[in-house]
Amino acid sequence: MPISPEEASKTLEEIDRTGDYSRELHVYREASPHFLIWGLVWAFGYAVTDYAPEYRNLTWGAGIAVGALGSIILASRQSQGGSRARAGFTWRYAAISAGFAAFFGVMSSVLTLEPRQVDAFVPLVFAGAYLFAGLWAGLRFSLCGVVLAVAVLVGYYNAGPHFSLWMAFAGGGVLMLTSFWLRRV
Amino acid sequence: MDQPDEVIHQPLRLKIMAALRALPESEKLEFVRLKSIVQATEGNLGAHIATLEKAAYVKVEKDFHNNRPRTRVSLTKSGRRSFQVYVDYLKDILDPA
Repeated sequence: MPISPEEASKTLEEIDRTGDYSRELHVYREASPHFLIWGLVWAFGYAVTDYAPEYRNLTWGAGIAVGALGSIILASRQSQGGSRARAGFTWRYAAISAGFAAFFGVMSSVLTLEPRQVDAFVPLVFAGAYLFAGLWAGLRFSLCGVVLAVAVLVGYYNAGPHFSLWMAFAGGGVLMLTSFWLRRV
Repeated sequence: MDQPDEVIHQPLRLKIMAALRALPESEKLEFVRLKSIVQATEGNLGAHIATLEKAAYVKVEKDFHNNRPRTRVSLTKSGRRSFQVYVDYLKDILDPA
């Protein structure tokens, strides 16, 4: 039986709706282990910063290198066996990581910040990135960004000398909880 | 095409195809995830997947993951092509030019 224009229109809407939802859940699932990696890096980096501030730069340098390498390997594994567009995810991920590194490199030469301010500034940039990325990729990312920003600001103004310890639990914790939340959806 | 593809033109099978088509090529979707995306019961979903598999539109793979049985479904090339033809057919109805 031929289809009426009304039915065709409704069917196309249904296809779009289902496809969008499926794509969103797929992105959440792929992003989940990356959030776990960076949650662990944050927890470790901020914890060391609190207990042994003299190792701060060394710890963060090593932590970021390990996290970036882990994420790039993971992205590469996630893209194996897929289409060309999917395979491009690995180099895009690497390019985004390099972009953030360049951004923070430039900012460090422009701004003069106290270590405590740096500990708040960097996660706030990432919180903003999650917030805006979520508007396209899925609102759970935006919610993570908002909660992360609130956690940073609450700690910055209230945690006193143990802001880094606060960030280890709250910042790293938000990322790790987001990872589980994205995986379970 | 005068008539829609009857295999695809059924509400639940349409959703299954749309959900799979949205993923990267050759990506497999676990049965339980597909069930939550298309909001179907297990039995109903299984029956419609079987229909799509018979038409060679989807491929079903069963294995064990973490000692638990796992069923994954993916769209075949033929399924992707047929779904695109179906979508084009619907678009032609709305815009015959």
